[in-house]
Amino acid sequence: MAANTEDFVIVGAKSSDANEHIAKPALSFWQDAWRRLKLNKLAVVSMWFLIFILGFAIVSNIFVTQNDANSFDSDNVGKYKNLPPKSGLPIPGWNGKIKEPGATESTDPYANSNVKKNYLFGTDTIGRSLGKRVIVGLRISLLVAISATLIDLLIGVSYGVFSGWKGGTIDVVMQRIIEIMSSVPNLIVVTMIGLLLGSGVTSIIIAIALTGWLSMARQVRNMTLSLKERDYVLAAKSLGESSTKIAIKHLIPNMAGTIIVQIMMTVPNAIMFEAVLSAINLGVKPPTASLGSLISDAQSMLQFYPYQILIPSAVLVLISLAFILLGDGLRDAFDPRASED
Amino acid sequence: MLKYILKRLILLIFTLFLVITATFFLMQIMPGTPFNNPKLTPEMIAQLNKAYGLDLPLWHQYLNYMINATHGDFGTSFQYQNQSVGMLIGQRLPISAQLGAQALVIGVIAGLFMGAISARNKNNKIDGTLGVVSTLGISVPSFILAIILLYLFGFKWPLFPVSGWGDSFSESVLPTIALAVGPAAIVTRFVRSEMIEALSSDYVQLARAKGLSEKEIVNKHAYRNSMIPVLTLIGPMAAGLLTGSTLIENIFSIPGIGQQFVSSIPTKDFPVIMGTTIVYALMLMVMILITDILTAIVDPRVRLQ
Amino acid sequence: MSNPILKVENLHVNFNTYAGTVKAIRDVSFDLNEGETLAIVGESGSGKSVTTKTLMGLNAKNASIPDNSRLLFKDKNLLALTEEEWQHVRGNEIAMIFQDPMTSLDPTMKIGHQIAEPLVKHRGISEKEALARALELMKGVGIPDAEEHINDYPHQWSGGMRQRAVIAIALAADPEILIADEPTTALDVTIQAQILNLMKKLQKESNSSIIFITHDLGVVAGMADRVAVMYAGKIVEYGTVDEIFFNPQHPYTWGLLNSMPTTDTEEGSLQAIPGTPPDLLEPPLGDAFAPRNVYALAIDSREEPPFFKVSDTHYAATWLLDERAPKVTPPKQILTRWAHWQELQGQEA
Ligand SMILES: Nc1ncnc2c1ncn2[C@@H]1O[C@H](COP(=O)(O)OP(=O)(O)O)[C@@H](O)[C@H]1O
Ligand SMILES: [Mg+2]
Repeated sequence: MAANTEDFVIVGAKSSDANEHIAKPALSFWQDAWRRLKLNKLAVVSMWFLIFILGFAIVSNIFVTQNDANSFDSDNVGKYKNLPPKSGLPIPGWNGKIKEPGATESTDPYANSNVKKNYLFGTDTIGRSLGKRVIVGLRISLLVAISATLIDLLIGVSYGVFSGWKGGTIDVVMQRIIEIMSSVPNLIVVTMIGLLLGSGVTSIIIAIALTGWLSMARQVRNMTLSLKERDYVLAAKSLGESSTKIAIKHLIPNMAGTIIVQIMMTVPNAIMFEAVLSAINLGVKPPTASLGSLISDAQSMLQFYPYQILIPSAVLVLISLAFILLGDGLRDAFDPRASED
Repeated sequence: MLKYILKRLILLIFTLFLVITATFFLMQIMPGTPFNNPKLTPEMIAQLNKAYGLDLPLWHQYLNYMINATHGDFGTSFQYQNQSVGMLIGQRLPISAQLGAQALVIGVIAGLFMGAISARNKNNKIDGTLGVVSTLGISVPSFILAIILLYLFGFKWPLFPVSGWGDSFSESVLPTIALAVGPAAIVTRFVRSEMIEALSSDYVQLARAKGLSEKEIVNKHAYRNSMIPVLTLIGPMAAGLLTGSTLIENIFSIPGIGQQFVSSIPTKDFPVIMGTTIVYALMLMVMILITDILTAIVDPRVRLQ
Repeated sequence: MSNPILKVENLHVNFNTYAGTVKAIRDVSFDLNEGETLAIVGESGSGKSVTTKTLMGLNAKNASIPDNSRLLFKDKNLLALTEEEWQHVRGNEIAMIFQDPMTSLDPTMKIGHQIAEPLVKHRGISEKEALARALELMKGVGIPDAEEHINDYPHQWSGGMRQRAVIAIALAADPEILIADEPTTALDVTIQAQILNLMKKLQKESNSSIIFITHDLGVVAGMADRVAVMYAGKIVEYGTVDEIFFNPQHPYTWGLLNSMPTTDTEEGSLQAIPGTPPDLLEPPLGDAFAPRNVYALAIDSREEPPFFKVSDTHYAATWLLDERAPKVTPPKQILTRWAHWQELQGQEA
């Protein structure tokens, strides 16, 4: 043994300061959540996809205006209508060839009508570029969904915090109201609002926001109930901080995770509801396009020009899929229990 | 128990009353009138208004509506003259309900199975595959799924009729699938997470410590505990499905209540809109009540009061 | 001398986590004799629960146990068992009582059935017979009017009663070893005493061995025959209950004893051990307790102390027992204990 007497002198405990450093610094809640989110590849891909889509929707204002998408050559409708998607490459289904109604062989309407231009996503029944209309439609759908979600957030969070914070009779009454409101099906509410305000983007946003806030309010209220018993909230209260300040400083940051996850579910719901509204003639006014109106307008073309309905449908599905996958990832990331083993 | 149900029924009637009142007055402030055919002369419109009782003062109309409603009389359709709203709904609701019931049964059963399988295979390939399928299932709205099914199996490979109702069972196959996939996916995800939670609970740990096999644990402990919360999910889902899907009925030309609702909107057929609203709300409330009662029966912790 | 029914040899348990390998159990060895109660004490996070779960074969999926670790139950190495063989051991030969009675019963199953379950499984008797036996067990663990309550659900019972039911479940198949992981931590003090008395009474009746886990030395005194003190995944001192209480040698044991209220504690002398346990991702070199130890020697930061023998039954892993180490004076309360120990020894002699 190499030990000598010097080894056996008392050195004592390290100072408690040093002790603090021995324990590994705990990751903050957000860092930890971010670390866990990054482990979920699907969620990360979805996140980048959504960032890209949002950025694209904003930037697209420069190169595809509403007018570009709505205008068509009224003298040459016959020439430009129902042109199938053409990539310029010999890819089956994307080569500008299609079986016209009644035909048995695929033909090339581009050649037949002497159209020089390639429409990547084809044209619609009156010869408008489907690509442009989908871009504009995407913009409207996102605008509707995100605005509705924001309103929803505002109403839902303030209602929920207020109800939970006040507690007592106020809480009971406010919860009863939610209960009663949720016994009216969303479709009805949306229809009523649509009828009342007429069709158009604003009324869709209001209609969707009015149906979406209930579950947000319910969740926020439950979280408020449990958070308001926590030490730091009680401390703030005894220090005489105002309720509003406590809500903003202590309550809402602590339920940010739940709220974000809820938003991830509300947005795709709003996108779908917009489509439903369009299908029952309460959507955007033509010639404005939304993903929903493009889908419902092209329904009659399904048999012969399926691309007209499948392309906007695919865009809608991809976006809701991305929101849902990201929402799943965030939920697991915010809930440490879920990601154990 | 009985007292509880009674209490809930009273609350239900009260809520329904609120819903009817709200819709009634909403209808009053709706812009436009149903009698906007340019061929109608002012005299004819006045006559029509009289026939439908629209010339009475508002409170009188409301009173009439409420009194009639208690007798199950929800007025006469503007659109189809001489047809009572009750009759119109009575004809169409069973069609929607049949389609919805088919979809509900298939969707829920599939969801229960897939969710349980998924949870038991947590984080392996089977779970992964089912996860992808169910995530897709909730991301694809039923009307888009209907369109895809219609295109594939109606036009491309015409295996099933593309529209119609009542002539053969095969007509209901595509709409049923289109309606069932969403609920199946939702139930799958829900059951999976409930089951995983149950399987990591203390009581399952204790069951393991008893020496039970994983299979016994799932069958005796995990399944029952994760089914109870699923019930609360199925109630509103059933209400939604049984009252018909507007879009699916539209796409497959099924003469259900949803399709009727859609057609009543542009024609401003207020009596039909109101009648349908009441049916929808009533259905939802009854389903939630049934769910709550069932939950109380299955879950020993819930005491009704 | 009774013979060991369970021998734990060189047990290591590692958990694979995103941040690296958590070395939760680092070379733990101990014996459990027939009919004895061994208490394992230590602060929370010291690895007590992981030890018990390992003994039940119920560790989390990310756990790994190296091949040289051995758990010998009646000379059969439990670590080599298949899942099916484990199921035969669990609840039958080794049973477990959990910490929280509020969550460890199935809320949707009648309590009688939950008690009957291990009987049906391990004794192969009918449900009816098992229920009859469950009723006896319920009476045995002191549930009043058991006949009326056999069909109750857990939510109808108080925490103390539920813990009695959990004990009945554990005892159902007459296990040879009963592991109790903090069985009274979640209960009121008065209920705690009742449950402890019950366990002692039942042990006498059945002559089973108990491994009693707790972070509270206070409940150990009346309960255990021997005590093992655990810190950071290791046993640092073990001996008979008297040896640990009145002749403790490890500074960590001193700390635990000083943080425990007793009837003659002077006011204000109660002291929690300052500092926090080390990170088991990278356990420190040498003595893991050194950074918190006011008696730490220079060598503690480099070299791990071996077990020094105090008596045939008493060992402690601290360099303070090395002959080269300076004699240190432990805290006053420990000196009082030592004095008491001298008296005890004197009486015996
Ligand atoms: N599944 C796991 N994965 C990673 N670390 C774990 C796991 N289970 C336990 N641990 C770690 O092992 C150590 C011992 O835990 P435990 O045995 O529960 O302590 P206690 O003595 O309080 O019962 C702790 O540091 C804990 O974080
Ligand atoms: Mg523990």
